[in-house]
Amino acid sequence: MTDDRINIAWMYPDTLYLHGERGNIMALVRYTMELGLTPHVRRIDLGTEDFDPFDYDILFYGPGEISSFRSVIDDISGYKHSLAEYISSGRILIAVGTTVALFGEKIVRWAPENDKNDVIDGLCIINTEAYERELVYGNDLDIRAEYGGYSMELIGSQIQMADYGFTENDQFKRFGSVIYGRGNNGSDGIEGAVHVNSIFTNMLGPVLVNNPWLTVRIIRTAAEVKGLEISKRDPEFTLERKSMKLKKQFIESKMNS
Amino acid sequence: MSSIRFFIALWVSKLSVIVINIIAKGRGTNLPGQVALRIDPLFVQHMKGIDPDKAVFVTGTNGKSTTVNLLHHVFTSSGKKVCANLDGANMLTGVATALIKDSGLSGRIRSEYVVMETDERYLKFIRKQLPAHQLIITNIQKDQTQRNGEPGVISRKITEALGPDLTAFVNQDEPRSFALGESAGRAVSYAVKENSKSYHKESDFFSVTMPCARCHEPIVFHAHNIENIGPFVCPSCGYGGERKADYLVDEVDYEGHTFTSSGRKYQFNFSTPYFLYCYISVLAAAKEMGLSEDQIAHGFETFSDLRGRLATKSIAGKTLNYIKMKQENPETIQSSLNLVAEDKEDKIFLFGLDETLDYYPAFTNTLALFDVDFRPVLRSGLNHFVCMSKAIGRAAAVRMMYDGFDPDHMTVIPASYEEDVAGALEPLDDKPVYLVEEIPYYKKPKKQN
Repeated sequence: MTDDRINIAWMYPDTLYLHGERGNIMALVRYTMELGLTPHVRRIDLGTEDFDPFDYDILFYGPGEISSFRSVIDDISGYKHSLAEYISSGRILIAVGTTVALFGEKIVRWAPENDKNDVIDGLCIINTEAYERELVYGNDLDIRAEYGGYSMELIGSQIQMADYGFTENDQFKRFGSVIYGRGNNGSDGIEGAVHVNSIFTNMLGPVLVNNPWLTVRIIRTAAEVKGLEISKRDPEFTLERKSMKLKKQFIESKMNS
Repeated sequence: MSSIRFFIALWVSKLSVIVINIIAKGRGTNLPGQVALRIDPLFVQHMKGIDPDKAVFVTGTNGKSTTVNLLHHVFTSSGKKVCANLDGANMLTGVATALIKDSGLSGRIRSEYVVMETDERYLKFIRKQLPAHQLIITNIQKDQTQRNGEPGVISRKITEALGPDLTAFVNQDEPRSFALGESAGRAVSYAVKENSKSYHKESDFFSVTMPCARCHEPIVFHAHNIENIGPFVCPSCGYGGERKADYLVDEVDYEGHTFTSSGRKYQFNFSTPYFLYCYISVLAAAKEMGLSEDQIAHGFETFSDLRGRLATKSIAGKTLNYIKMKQENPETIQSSLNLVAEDKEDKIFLFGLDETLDYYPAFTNTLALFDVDFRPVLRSGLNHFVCMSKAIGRAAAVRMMYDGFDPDHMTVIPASYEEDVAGALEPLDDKPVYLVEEIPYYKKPKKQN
């Protein structure tokens, strides 16, 4: 029997739950089917005992509350080494919003002056430290991203609870360059990071719904890593392109004001 | 020196009240307080005659204004004098303004009781100057992401204001606010039993709940009385299932407009479950502050919220049922969608989705679209969907497409100006029309030239 399945793990859906990220899982399912493959999604909760990253082609980690991070890190620690191997092998992990910080070296929580900052040790999978902001930053995020050998414009929302930065090198490259918005820290013009085929991005909410051209790139990359052939062409994305145009006009009006 | 500064602040701000009443009556819910606090930053602290035992704050995401208005009414209908910020100006400046209006030239307030709506983020600063000993917490939900980020930020802000001198009235049916009781000197819990309008969410693959405030495992709701509020338990650590609430709505008769609590029947002049939480929290606070059940019952009998959330309007020859959202967050949107879905006839649904502006600049926020579930509306019978928005109308159309609604039956218009809405409705079949929108947006009846 030919395996045409793309296996997707929806990581901690009730804990990393903040901004309607189930839309991203729906988008992965929708476009896997549109490309002629069979999506198979499993929810992975805290304490799921038989979880092995290598059973999946795509792992999706949505944004969660920082107060939950210790519980999530404890759980991931049980499979941390195989997760690092999974990423190195070219399989895909997607982490969005503040959850990116989980995969860095540490998360330093904001504290009033003279109070001691609480520090949460991260998973040390990407070379960055995250610093919780005193004030939340919320705005549109418009970037030029490079992924799967393609360049594409992506628009989404950024609700920045923590800033971070990293040095680009052979292993870690920027996910995108900021056209409008903050990106990783508001100063270096870099948005997110890509490590092999895994994406770490501040762009959150229904990113894969709003930017389906990225979604099909992710699915095509996952299929290629798995050795699956896709003969179908990309869908037209008519409604999504019209939607993006309206947002782009709105962002441009802000840039010009 | 400080008392001179206080009196200058008081008298200048009182003068500003008079001037505002002459030139813009009905406004000035913050300005006099701003003036006073500019002159004397500790102005509220310097006010005289406030008894912290007779002062109560109301905070939380949804329901603050109705709760404050109801509590104010219950006290005043019992013959008590109450100083309150009924217009919803809930920052320190709004609190100061209410006190200025209630005080004489000596800075002593005339009222015996103080009831104030307080913004969650500024509660700590307000309480520093006016140390009320009672706090009603309505609920803590995802809201104003541009400034709050996540609900945990709000929990933390409220916690900073709690202390051993405070009695917190906490909603036992709402996991985040119930947890705050542990940080108060005393916690009094209130809740609503599952009733005829409670519902169970569809437990399908894409359903999500929320993490437990203690152990971060998924919470399980036995039922939702309103969206994400209802009897719950954490199966992992038992949080939420420990005890009976101190004040509980036992039974509700929506048609007869009554509810019972501890065997006593109270009048309830609404038909939506949302208000039950306002009533039971007010019952708890008023009773704990010394009012008798008879006095409270009398107040409930005579209360009506004049700013109701439901209205009708005739437009393009069709009757439009308008469900107003005071603020736009997943819970208020879902509650509104559930109301629309109660009508099982084929209908036209208009949805106003504004760009978000909690802080400048506004942004094209589509985060809530996949937090809420449109399927109850689709299943109840949807003929046509009209989305009104400058920048994210088509994003809402995409959302409906994901729930299987045919894009040929969708219209996107750039705004909810009356002529735009009329133009969108005019070619459509004669069906019941529902409009769900945040209140301020709909206030613009004509296009601005």
